[in-house]
Amino acid sequence: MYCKPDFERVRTALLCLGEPDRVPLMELGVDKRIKEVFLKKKIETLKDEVEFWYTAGYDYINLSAKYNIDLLSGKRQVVNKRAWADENIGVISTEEDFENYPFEEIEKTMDFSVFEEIQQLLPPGMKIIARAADIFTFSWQLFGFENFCFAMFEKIELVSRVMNRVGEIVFKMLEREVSYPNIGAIWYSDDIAYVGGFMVSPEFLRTHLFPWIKKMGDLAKSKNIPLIYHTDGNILPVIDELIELGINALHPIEPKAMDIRELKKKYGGKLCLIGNVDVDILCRGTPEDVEDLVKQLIRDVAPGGGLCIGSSNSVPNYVKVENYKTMIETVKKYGSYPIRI
Amino acid sequence: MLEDIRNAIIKGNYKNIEQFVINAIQNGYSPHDIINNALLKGMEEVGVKFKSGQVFIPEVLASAKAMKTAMNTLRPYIKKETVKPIGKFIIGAVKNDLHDIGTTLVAIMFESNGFEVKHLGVDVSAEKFIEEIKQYSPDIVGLSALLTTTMLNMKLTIQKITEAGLRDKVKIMVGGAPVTQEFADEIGADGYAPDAVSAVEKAKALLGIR
Repeated sequence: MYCKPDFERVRTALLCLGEPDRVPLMELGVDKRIKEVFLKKKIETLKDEVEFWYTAGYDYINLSAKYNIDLLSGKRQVVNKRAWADENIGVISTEEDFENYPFEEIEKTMDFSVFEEIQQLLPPGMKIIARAADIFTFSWQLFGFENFCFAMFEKIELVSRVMNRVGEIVFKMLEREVSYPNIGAIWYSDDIAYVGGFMVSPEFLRTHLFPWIKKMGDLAKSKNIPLIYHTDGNILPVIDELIELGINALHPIEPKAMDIRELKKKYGGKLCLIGNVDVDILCRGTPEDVEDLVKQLIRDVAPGGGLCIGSSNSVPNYVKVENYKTMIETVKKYGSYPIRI
Repeated sequence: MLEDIRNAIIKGNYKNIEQFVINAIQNGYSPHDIINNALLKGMEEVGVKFKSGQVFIPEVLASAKAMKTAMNTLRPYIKKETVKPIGKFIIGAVKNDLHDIGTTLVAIMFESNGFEVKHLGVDVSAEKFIEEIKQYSPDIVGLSALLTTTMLNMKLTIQKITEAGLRDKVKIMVGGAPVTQEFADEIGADGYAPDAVSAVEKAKALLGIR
């Protein structure tokens, strides 16, 4: 089923401005294999990417500047005598490691050309969602997670400086991304929780991560565009705060972690909810299971607007393509407002 | 004195706990007393706080480090036969799954509740689990997975353990982000738990321990 792209429906949903013409489809990421099977061709260029998102029925393409992610997450040898970063030790343990770390190289080698190239390729109605990620995640990866946890007790100043430096890099990248034409929204992703709750204390996140989210919220407002925040897990205790900081939409609402129907009751009109179609069902269920799930989601959560539908995380290569197709077709078939299921 | 040790566990005070333990020993407290009435009680409270969202992974790791430090300090004073584990537990992330923080937390909770624990790490094949069951004779085998795709290797692991004639020698528990009770039942696991603390409770129930 073909649907003409129109970012206005996404904007209406993200900002909870009422009911758009239909429930938008949204994904943070779809694996290349899925895209290629869907399109029946190889995805090799930006033009191919645009073709996928357009053909599948999305109203946007999300893009990020290219940067040295290995360096920012500490996966390479860069410092003193240390060899390849051990998963538990990381590449930064001391002030000296921090001082010597080539953060400037990451900044200097950032490549924003995709934001220029896309301008000629965007179909009418489609916009760009500017992506940024992982101030908290990169910071703990640089230490190694266990070392980061102990550094929170023993070397909090160092932790703070690392988070600030990583935050500077990520935020500056985002500022430049949104300076390009046709940016419809910002999508910031940074996992701070899992099904059982927060990885670290909310107090730590308030001190070291939330100020950066506030800056992103202010940046989004200054550009008059919505801000989407992605995190896995259960973050119920901080949702009110995140709304205050400027988050307009939350992704992906893992079904095991948070109840989307309860969130709609509590935050309807204030927070757009994105995602929620269980990746487990997309992987191991039948197309009938997927259709039922999506129809129930539309019936229960779509009225009033403030809902975009997609997977409950992303679409990895082990999702059944027929289930992915069923999800998007069900949204197109039953997601027109007013909802009549 | 036991209170100092218990509080050091709860607060993750791994720097000072060694001295508290030495003080207690010098004042006549037995290792048995220190372990049961200070260390294990302290970790029990940490488990409660973790489950209820009052403390988080860093605090649990700090408490575990305090526990480990205390046990190392006590080791010269412990007669082997006086500290018998309540059970033996092996845990690992199944084949192709490389995430280990969750299994580390579960191992910490089991150890601090009196189990003897062997952590097999990540990307553990069914054959490795079988080898460890034969050599180590655990009471409980814990299988972990983070992804839907690797979770399917839990079914394979249980099948192979059964084919090896070892299924009735162990209780098998499963856990991890995509895992549910329904999936656990489907693949023939003996138990599922949604978090590290519940996992210990379930394990004790499976072994008939209060």
